[in-house]
Amino acid sequence: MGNQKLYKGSLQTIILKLLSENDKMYGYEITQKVKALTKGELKITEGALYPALHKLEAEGLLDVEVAKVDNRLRKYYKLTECGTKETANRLAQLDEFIQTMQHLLNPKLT
Amino acid sequence: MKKVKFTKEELAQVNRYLDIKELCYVDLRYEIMDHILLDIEHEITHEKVTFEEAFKKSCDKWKGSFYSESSYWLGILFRGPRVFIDSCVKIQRPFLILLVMSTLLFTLLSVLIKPLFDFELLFYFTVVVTPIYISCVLYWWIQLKISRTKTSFSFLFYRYVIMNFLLNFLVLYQLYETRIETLNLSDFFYLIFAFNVLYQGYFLYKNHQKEVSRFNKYKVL
Repeated sequence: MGNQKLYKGSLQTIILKLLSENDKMYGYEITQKVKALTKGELKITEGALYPALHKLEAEGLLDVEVAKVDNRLRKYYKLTECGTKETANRLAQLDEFIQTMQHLLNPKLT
Repeated sequence: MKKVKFTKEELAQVNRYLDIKELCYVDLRYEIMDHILLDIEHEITHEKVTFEEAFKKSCDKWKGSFYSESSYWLGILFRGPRVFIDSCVKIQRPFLILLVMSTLLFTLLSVLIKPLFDFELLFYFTVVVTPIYISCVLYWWIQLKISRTKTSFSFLFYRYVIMNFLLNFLVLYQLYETRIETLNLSDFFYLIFAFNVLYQGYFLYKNHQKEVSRFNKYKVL
């Protein structure tokens, strides 16, 4: 759990990556998916998730669809065309960052 | 696994909780309500607890996100639930940066091009821009009022677009006082502000309307 600060800067990339693998997702589903994929190591707080989703939407990277589910409204997020391109860019940046860190921390392995 | 079905009273209880926390902005309220209900559903199904216990647990989880707070980016006078304020900061920050950067850049430019500048042209440009500027901001403001719905975008519109718009007219007043004998920095400030206010105003108005139309379909507003 002490790693939460390290993950913080990658929250938007995580959201974009998940949405690139799923047609559309809602907030709760994103938190649960992250929790399951990281075996509980990374827990996205609700207070950080929704502002991040709204920012991505305001930037035109996500599109929103509202549907009525079980007598209540649910907001689904999906990638726009621009969002798909941006996901590829951000994943490439993240990959580069991971490799640089690898060079720094484990020079013998590289 | 049996699906949890909430009663009207239970839904009303969650709604009341959101009212108390002053989460009245539709773009956040409905998805947070859905999130809380899904949390409760999960607890009832997996932990075999009652609605009351699950609701209390969910409230504890959300407590931090609902603390009333303000931000320097929005001005310390404006308070709201943390999750809402954070959401607004993320929308507002690029506009503030743009405003500061463009003001600095154009002011510097105005000093550099001073000897070459046609003062008369700038004056007429201002005369043409002003009525368009006033009409647009008033039209958006009326449309937002008519919609009778609160969103993060309308919150930012009322606080920043209207405030900057009024502030801008103080500069305009000075512009007409000094007229065009010398190239006054207020000429530039006025126009830069006007374009920034128009840009942000349009963005917020457009997104507010988009948000309202999404929820209007379900007749919840």
